[in-house]
Amino acid sequence: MGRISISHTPLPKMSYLVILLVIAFVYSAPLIVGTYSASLLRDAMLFSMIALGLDYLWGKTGTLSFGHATFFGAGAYGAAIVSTKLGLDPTLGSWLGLISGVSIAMLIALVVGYFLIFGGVRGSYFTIVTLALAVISEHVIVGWSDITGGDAGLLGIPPLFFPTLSGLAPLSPVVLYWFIASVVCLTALSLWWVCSGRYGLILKTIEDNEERAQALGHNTSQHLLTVFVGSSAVAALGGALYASTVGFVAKDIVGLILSTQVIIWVAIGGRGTLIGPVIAAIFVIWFEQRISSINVQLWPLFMGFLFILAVFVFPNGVLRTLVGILRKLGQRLEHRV
Amino acid sequence: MMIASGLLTGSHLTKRFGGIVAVNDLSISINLLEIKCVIGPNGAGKSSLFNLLCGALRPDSGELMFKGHSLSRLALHEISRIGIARKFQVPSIFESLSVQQNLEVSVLKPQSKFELKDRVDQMLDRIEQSDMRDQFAGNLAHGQKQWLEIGMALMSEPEVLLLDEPTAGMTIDETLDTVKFIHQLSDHAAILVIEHDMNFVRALGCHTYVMHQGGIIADGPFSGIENDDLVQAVYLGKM
Amino acid sequence: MGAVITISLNAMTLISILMLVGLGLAIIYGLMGVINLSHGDFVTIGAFCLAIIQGLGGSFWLALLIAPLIGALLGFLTEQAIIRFLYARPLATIMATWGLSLIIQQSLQLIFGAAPQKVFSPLTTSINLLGVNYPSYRVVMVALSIAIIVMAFVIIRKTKFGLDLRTIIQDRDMAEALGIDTKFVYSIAFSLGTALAAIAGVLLAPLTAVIAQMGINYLAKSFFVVIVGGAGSVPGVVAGSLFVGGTETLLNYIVPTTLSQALVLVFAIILVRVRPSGLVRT
Repeated sequence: MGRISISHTPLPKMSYLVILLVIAFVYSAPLIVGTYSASLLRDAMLFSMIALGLDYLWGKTGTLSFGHATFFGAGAYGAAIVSTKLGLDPTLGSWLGLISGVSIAMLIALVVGYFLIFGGVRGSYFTIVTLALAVISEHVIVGWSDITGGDAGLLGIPPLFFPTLSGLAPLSPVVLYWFIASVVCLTALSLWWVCSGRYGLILKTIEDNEERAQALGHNTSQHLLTVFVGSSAVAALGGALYASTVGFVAKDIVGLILSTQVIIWVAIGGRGTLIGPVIAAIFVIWFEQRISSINVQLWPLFMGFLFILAVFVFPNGVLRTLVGILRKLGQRLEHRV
Repeated sequence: MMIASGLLTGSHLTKRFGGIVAVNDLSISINLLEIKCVIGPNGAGKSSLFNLLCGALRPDSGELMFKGHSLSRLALHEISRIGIARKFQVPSIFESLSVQQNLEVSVLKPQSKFELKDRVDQMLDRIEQSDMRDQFAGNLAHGQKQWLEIGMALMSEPEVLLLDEPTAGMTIDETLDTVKFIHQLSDHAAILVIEHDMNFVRALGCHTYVMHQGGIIADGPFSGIENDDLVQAVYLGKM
Repeated sequence: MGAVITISLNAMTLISILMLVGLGLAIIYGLMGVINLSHGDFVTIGAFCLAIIQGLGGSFWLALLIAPLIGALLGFLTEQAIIRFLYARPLATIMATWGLSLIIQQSLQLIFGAAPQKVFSPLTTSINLLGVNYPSYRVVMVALSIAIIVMAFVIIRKTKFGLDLRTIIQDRDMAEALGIDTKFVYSIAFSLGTALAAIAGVLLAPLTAVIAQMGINYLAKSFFVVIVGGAGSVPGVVAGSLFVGGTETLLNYIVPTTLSQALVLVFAIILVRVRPSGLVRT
């Protein structure tokens, strides 16, 4: 029933072109930029899943989470712990880890989300509680070192095994890259498809005027909880894949720093566009590597300024702001002629 | 305990805020396809009564029944789903959606695309906004927003429509148009209007309750009410 | 018996710090609906003031006077440069103040380095309280905090400024109609809030490691104070601090620190479900 809709908000034609170009580049990248750069791109794509998840929540319902890395981390640590600590056969353990990681993150989101959302916590309050969630998840990872490895993290996470002609085996780096690119693209596409119809409109009504939406009979708390859990699942899928791809997890993948980076990715990419935050994530991560190679301490300072810029200069994302400026310039030129 | 009759019945409703009794042991009921009106000076407790009737507030005591079922345990969205629609006092629409999309999201479970389009088109026609269907609702004039909101409330095909000051901020012409509009609507739903504008209520000319200090001091056809000494005293502050 | 007294005193230490940090946050949130994520960094700024002043040979008590002035000045600048443009955009305020927080933290670290700053407690003796030896500094700190809270309460309850403040919290439009200069009250209240955070920073500094990131822990906790207690009133902040500080200290004796912090979060979330408007309703 979510699909039944008579009105769609069409994307500008330009954006289809941009999306196609990006997808073409992403798929051909391992053949062009070399294995090392491709592996960086691969990791950036996995992190961009948090942006995708957050945009589903923040972009579509206006609810901002300041702790979305928690779910990426839960997915990654869940996958790592299940696949390394239970003595499972790695061919099975890697997949079981993936499923467990995503399930654990969804369970956390379900419990936290239920109490907050049905408790009427909205807007800024919601953001603050999720911020605390990020702080505390970091404490838990560091403090519970028997299970999580503490500051050292966890090593030796098996890769995902796929059936091949010669039995079960991990993918070659290039094929793994394509697999991950496909997961990210498919997830983005499905979210876009889900939100493009009436369901997207209903989510938008929650941001616009939740009381009105309730008075029309929409169970907005239910919708918000579903989106919150769904968005956490997307982030967790990224995390679980990250664990099996990279082979180790450390505490920097949970917590406040990553959580707030994600907000910048979404803000730069354009809230609510889904694909924008993914592209922005990849660009910003690349940029971060450049800056950090000069001085590690410069990046957080840079991020601070990016936050203030995001609020004052490009509240609708860099691309939309640029398009807006160009359009205005064009109109002005027309007036002169 | 009085046996409740009527479509929507509030009996002995009481609501306190701190030490103030906003609604005091008030009973009210509305029947199928009836138009009724609640008037009263500012501070009489009209808005609190409205919020009690649509479930946004819970009464401290008393009972609210719809078709013989108690509403006291239902959430806001559930109350809407069983057939009670409401229009807020301040125009409350989705400003960033188009007029058409506003109506579209007001249907809870559309059967099909065609049925939905049909209903949206009909409603656009009824609220006279067919030619502005693709405009952002936020850009509408104040009166148009009020009508759009009534249209949205009607999309769920409610049995009871509660209107809180539907003509607030409207010009005299718009107000009279709205009176006509409300009379047309009464073929489809019972309507309870909360209002303090005497001229509007006079034009509406329906069964009227007069509220004062949280209670009802008079009720009956408006013509009778208007000439009631007590009502005049309360309304014009002669007490 | 002795253990009970020690636990209570430890709890009081944490509670009094939370009260100071939470009060500024609660006033700013209750008054303007602004969530200031850089609030914790004003605690850090207070602590760094102490380190700098003591480094220059000044005394603790001098720092206790100067730090709130610096906190208030920086708070005033923050309000003028950033916050006042964003009153209609609560989420944007959160993002901008987070950006500011990162800038403050990183600048402090770039200037002063990552190692903890040296600060000295003004009192190194301990006193006997009900048969328990307890550091005098902590006792003085608790007393000072309570005195400041009481002072804030009196200001809000008894002065013209406090009346304006309460009027705006009740109904902003009405306050403006009554001729209250809301913009002025906002910038003063914001500066007061950051000054309180800076005081908390000075008082806290001798008990903890003074580093650029020290504010963040107090930020998260004091938000719980506000959420649990209810925004916009002194009694709410006191109740919230008692809950958060008391629970955490008590749990620390039973379970590991990390778990106790997680449990406080869990309790706070459950409490929000049961009492959405906080322990003390305004």
